[in-house]
Amino acid sequence: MERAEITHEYQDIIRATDKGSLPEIDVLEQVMGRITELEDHRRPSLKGAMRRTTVLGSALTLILMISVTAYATSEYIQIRNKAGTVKVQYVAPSDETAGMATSYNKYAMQAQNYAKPGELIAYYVKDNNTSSDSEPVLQFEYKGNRIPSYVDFSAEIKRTGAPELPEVTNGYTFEYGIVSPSIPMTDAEKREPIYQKTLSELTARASKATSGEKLFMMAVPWSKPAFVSGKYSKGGAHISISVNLMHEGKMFVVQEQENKVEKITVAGTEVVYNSVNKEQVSYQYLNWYNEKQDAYYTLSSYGDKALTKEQYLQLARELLE
Amino acid sequence: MLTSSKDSLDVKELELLITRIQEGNTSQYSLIVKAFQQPIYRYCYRLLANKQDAEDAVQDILVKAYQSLHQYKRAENFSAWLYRIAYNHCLNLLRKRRVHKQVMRIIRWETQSASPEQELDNRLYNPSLAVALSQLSPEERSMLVMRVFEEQTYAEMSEILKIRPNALIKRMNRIKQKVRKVMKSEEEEIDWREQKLPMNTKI
Repeated sequence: MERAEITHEYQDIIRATDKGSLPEIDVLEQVMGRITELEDHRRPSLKGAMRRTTVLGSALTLILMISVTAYATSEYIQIRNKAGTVKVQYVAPSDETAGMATSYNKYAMQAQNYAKPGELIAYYVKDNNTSSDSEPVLQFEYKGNRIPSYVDFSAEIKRTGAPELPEVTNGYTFEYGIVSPSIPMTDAEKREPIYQKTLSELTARASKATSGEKLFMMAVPWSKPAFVSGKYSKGGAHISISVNLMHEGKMFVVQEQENKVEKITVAGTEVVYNSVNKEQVSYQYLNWYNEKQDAYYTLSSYGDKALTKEQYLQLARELLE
Repeated sequence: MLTSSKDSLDVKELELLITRIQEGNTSQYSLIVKAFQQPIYRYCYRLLANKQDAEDAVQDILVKAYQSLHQYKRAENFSAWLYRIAYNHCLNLLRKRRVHKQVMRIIRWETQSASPEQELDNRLYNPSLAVALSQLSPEERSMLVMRVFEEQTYAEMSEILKIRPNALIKRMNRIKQKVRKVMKSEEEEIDWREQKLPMNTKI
């Protein structure tokens, strides 16, 4: 109603403007190019800032499952399993970890657009000049799926064999959960029949294509989880419990300068209390390694009421016992 | 209010998308760019009245929004938040232009011809409206563009500009009167010049 009145009210001014429509523009490539460049150069500070609103998600982006052993390890926190093997290693930010930035990839974006929530898409790019692999490779994109019903979330946990998360914790009730797949990366995973079958199907489609098409993709079934998370709320206060499944790997956690860490034993398990104090923001979160599940837990709180250190430790105790 | 219909996103999709970007999934930002580039461009072009400046501004605004995404609170309207970034960015550009003009006058270079890039797009507004707009402050001009060309309600403008709707109504009335007054006098001037022109050619 109000909008209709605008045309009437200002018709003399509208009449005095160009009647033709304004030109269309497309700055997608330029903007994404600049963002990728920014990410490559400024990742540590940007990531730190990003964590202000999504402590859980951003904390996870700093967790890197990489096979690097060249870090100076002595002054950084380590968590070992019963056999004495280091399973979790805090490391200093480095160029190598900064290079883990998610860069803009137009094919990945197309795969994202193609996928339905919860679907894992395998895609193959024909004549991919950006790939350094000589052999044809599949790439994967997963479209996130928030599961708002605890019953459905619990069913997804059972289907994938992921660690269970509670429905209510410390008075915070379940809001939604996420279960994400593990992406095939190792040579053993690439030799699996499902991978090989998908690869041959997509490469066959690519070789038959005559229209200059470059991207070939299909949804693939998945059952191996990589990440499970639950968001819980009490009014405007939220907590997140997230679990990274390590699948016999080793967890490297980038420790920024502003992150003060403290190792504390809770219910017989070593937990790491992280307190990050930056100029504009400060936040805390808790991590621990669960040997039985071979999983790395992150507990964070945000919203209008963050947990105190004691509350964090109490909640960890409840989850560990 | 601020998405192009082709790539428009509903509130829920937008919220999910922003969460993913905040969690580090940079490539998802391309969907935001696709959805908002055209409306922001339209706003910048109307406000800056220069095609190249508007194109550059859209890029800068979208990059700036990405860098500030951690400051975005979910309770806010995303498009109003983005519009505010665009508004501040364009206002800065207009203020710089004004300072540049003043400097040029002081050092007596005002007679130099402007480069094509500096030239305002004279196809966008007719001469009388162009003169009227040039006499508005950057803030007033932005308000006029939002209200008249972007057809925003006072509630939407209030969210962007952080000014109460009642105060906006009063200011818009003043802007409207100012623009009409200048347009009227300019049109009279043009009529007078046009009437005079045949006489001059006879001489």
